[in-house]
Amino acid sequence: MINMEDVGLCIHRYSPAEQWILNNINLEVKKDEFVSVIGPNGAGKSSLLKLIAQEVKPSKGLAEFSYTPEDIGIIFQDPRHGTWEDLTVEENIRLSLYRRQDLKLDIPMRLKDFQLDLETKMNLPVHSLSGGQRQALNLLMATISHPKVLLLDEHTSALDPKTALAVMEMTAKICKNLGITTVMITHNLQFAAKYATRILVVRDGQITHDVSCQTTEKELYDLF
Amino acid sequence: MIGQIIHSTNLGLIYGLIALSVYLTFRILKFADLTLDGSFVLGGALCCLLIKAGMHPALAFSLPFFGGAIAGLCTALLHIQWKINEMLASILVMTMLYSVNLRIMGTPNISIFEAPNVYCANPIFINFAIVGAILLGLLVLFKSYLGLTIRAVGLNQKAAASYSILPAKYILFTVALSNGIAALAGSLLSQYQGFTDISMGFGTVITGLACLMMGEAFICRYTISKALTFCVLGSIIYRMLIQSALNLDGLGLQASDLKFITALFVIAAIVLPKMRRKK
Repeated sequence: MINMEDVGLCIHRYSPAEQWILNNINLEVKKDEFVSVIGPNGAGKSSLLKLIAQEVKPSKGLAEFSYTPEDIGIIFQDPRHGTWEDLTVEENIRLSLYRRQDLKLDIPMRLKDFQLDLETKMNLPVHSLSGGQRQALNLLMATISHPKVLLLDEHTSALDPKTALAVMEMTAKICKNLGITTVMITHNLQFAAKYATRILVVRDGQITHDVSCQTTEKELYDLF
Repeated sequence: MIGQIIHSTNLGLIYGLIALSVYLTFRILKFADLTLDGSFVLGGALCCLLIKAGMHPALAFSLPFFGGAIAGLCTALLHIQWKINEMLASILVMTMLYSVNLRIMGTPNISIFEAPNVYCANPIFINFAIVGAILLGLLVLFKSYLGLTIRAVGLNQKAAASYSILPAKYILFTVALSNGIAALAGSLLSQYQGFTDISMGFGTVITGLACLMMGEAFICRYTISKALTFCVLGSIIYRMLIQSALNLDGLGLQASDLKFITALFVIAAIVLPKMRRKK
């Protein structure tokens, strides 16, 4: 799905403020993998996600993707970034089907996969939902048209622990059921250890560790 | 008295189209478009030109829509293609339209008193029919997927982009539609009053905003259908209030004070709710 060889990303190139925010990135992600990206703030995790989302092009190296930007679903940390607050839940779901308007979906049926009581809120504006319900809606909207790749940018970090766990459970279940390749940025080492099939540790713009799902939370903490 | 009420209703209906235009750009698209001032006169100028050329009044009324739409497209293109701030882009096009309108009209004022017009029956019925048809068209548009997508672009362009909705084409469409409707308003007004004046567009956007805010004051539970309908109703109420204020001798108001009162009303409508929230 994703193949990067010696990829680097530079901002303000050829100016005195030139800065390499990613360097020597070598990464191969296969179909159906659930990759978690962890690392301290400012390490370059979000920049790596932008590369994978094809929002930016690498400044050097080779980056190959077997999908187009239209095959990507993205969920942001702030639920408001991915939804239309003043529109109803139903209108939001209809809009998320923009690129697959031909898709005949039984939306109430799909909503049953989602906890947090979304199906009873169809005619309410999104701003009246709780944080967890909004993120569940984001998850539904990002996956409803069966994207090849799902990118999660700290999508549970703004939620309380109980809701975060519920949203994470939903995410893992849906990605597994639909066979979506997933790249998740998180600061929650417990989630990374429990749900990911592979964990990347990013520090100072480089992937310093690439470890398997058997790694424990304690071991991840030491690598962090 | 009755005559004044009917006249206010007619003007309210015509300026209701401006309120709809302002609603499309300012409220739905969050696009501060001042081109409407120029498109309004452009509509009137084109209508007078076409009527003087012998065209049927109904055609002369409707064709200026495309003139206004082209003006709107120019503004949207300047903003999208060359990243010129939307307000500056609209001021630039509005300024250019002043010269264009003078070129079209030949003189600052052009009269069509003697020429045939669309008012084959009582003007109030004709205005109700025309404005009602345009309102109905907009209601249908905003019930459709296209309308929903336009609203989505106005509300959150980042979310729209993440679902592959390209904001540019919806901005172009909506700004063109809005200016087209403004041109229709100018066209209708020129046939109603029998002339077009180069200065009649001055303050049109502010008048539209005032009508829009007046309408919004009456909406309890906001829906897009209610908002569109109350734009027109707000415009009628606004015209009647203005007429009543001008009739009150004690206030000492003159017709020339209209723009001042309109702007004052808009300021009050923006500032008062903020002052109430602070308390």
